[in-house]
Amino acid sequence: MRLRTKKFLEEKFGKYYSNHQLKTPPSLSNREWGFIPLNKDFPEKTVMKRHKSFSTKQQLQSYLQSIIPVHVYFSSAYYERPSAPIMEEKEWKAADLVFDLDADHLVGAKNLTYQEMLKKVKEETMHLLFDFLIDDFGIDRDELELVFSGGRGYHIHVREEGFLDLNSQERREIIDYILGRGTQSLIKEKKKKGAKIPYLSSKSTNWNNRIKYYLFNNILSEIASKEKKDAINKLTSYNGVGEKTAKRIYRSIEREETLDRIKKNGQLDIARGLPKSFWEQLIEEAKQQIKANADEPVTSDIKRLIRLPTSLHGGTGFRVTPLSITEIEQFNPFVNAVVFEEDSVKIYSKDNYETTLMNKKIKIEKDEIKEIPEYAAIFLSCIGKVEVEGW
Amino acid sequence: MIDKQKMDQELARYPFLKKAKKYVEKSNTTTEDLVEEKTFSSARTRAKKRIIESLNQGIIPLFITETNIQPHTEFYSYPLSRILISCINDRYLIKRYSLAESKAFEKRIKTEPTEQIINVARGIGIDSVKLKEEGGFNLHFTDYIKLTTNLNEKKWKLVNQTIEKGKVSLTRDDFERILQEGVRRKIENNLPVEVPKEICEKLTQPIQEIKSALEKKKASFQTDIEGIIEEELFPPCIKTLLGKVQKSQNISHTARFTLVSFLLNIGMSEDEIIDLFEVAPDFDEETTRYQIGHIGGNKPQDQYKPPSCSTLKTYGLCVSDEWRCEKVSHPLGYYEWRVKSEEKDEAEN
Repeated sequence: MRLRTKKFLEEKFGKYYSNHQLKTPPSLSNREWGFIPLNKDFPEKTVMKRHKSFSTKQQLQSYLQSIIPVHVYFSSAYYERPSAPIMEEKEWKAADLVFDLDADHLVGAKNLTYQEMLKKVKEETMHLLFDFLIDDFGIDRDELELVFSGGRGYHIHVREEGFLDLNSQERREIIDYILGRGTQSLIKEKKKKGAKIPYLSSKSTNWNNRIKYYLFNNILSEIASKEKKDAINKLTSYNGVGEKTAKRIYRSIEREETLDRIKKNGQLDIARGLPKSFWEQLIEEAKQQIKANADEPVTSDIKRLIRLPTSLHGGTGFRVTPLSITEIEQFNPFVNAVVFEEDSVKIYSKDNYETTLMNKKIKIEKDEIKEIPEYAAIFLSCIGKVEVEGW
Repeated sequence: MIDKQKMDQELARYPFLKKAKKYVEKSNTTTEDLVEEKTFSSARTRAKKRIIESLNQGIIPLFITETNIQPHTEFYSYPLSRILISCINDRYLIKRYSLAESKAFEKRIKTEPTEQIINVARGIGIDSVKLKEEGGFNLHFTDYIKLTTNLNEKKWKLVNQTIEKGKVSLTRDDFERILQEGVRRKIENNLPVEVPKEICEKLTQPIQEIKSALEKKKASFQTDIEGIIEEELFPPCIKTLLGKVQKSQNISHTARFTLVSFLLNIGMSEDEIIDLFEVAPDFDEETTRYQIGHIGGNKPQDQYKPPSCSTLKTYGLCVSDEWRCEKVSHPLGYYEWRVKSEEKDEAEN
């Protein structure tokens, strides 16, 4: 990044920290803070200044105005001495429970555009939020903070009592639940006339019930409603299912009574020669759909540094945006996380790139010099697509 | 008067409840009184018995079956046990004792009305527990997790439970099991207590008796027909696993396999290994015996060998923090090497 681009970003970020009141976490003085300054090697090499602490919001805010960081983090942990230089001396007291949903952890996210990626992560976040955190865990809506990370995903901070003193192993139990890890086998076998018949366990747990629901209402009914040829194609894609068995399965699940019967007595012997592994594959498929893809290390780490909501993300220039749970559905980072002005800025583009910001299409071509709105210049500088001219 | 009797009865059965402390304070009984006064001499005998039985039987016999013990004797024997154990301050003893107390507790609670179970649960700080209308209990899942992380069986994982709006539903049996774990943890975490030297000195005799029972117990799983089984000489990976088991921590299936096959291969007997695992909170003798038997095989040649160093690395079980680890490819190789060099050292001395 050229020096003048850095100067430009520094001025704009500085102005943001002077003109905006930050939202600070509860127990501010017990948190450790970390910052990545916009030094000469940015963004190739970054050095984190950490072990900082502040007793008031004003102190923090004036510190930000003086060093103008590109990234701002605080500890999910509450410490007795947050500024102690080594972890043992900080004296850990408690920690917020944090969930991190990141495009990096989504299957198939690689081939998506940034826009599409964020849309997908948003769906995943809502899934975690509503189905797991609110429905299953009963977490009070007022005790959680939902945030767009400014980068590739969303964070959820839980500050309800009872969660704060959980240790790392106990937090791992929570993430195992969300990922569906360690479920007891849903398929049992019983002997009938000398043959082993697989059947679905009747044990009612949240996961078992969700898997069964998905199995019946998504996988099996979808296959049953397909044209025969497509259904056979789909069925033979499972290991251990040949053309013949696939035809038998299709003929069986085509009839509504078959599904009704499985629902009633759990018996899975719907087609001759059907291996147990077929059902195991379906269940695995269901589990992949039911789980919420939160990042495990973040949740189980009780000493994590995490981005400060309302600060700026130096990798995009977006605001790390706090959201109420009613806002997330309509939230569009490319409009709602943009905090900069319309004023024209002359830039030089290093690459071809196209995006939509503030509902306006922004298109640049390599080696072109042109004027674009300030907010676009900041976003494109941060992602490394342009340099600012004449600054 | 009736109230006092009822109170005495309850505290004699559940002496670890929060209100027991208040009760002692109110009665103006000091630690000195407990260790010196004649009124407490049968409580002192009972205290010693509590500990020795925990070593020998793994459970503390219920006093109700021993008609000659008064509730107040039984009750005061509990703080006295804690004093004795703290004077000795041995990790194994603390674990073994806490487990034995909790097992006795589980037996007792089985015959109690559900209200009493709730009382006891709240009395050890499990505040979120509630009786369900349709039977059974529910408790907040954070409390559930805190109480079950040390239970290895898959069924205890949160993912295999029914949760509604933060409440885990449990049958009475399951809740009793969890409560037992809560009691065990509470007792263990609050030991040792600080006891002035002068107090311990007044208890020299029972302390000696307990110590010799403890030595005997420890010796029973440390000696071996083939001579030395020296924990000191175990490779770091095995030491780490053994430490975890003895600290009642959860270890993975592979880790368990590694540990057991190692111990069998160096000549430890099934009973000795059972003794080592006994301090694990979800210890189930039958299951453990089955697993050991499986790894051990029927004939010596059927016995499984522990995984090699490179396999252990893959599983993340290698902690290689020692130069010797660089020189060997198998944990058994490490041990043989160390035993040999130890013997050589001894010969030279």
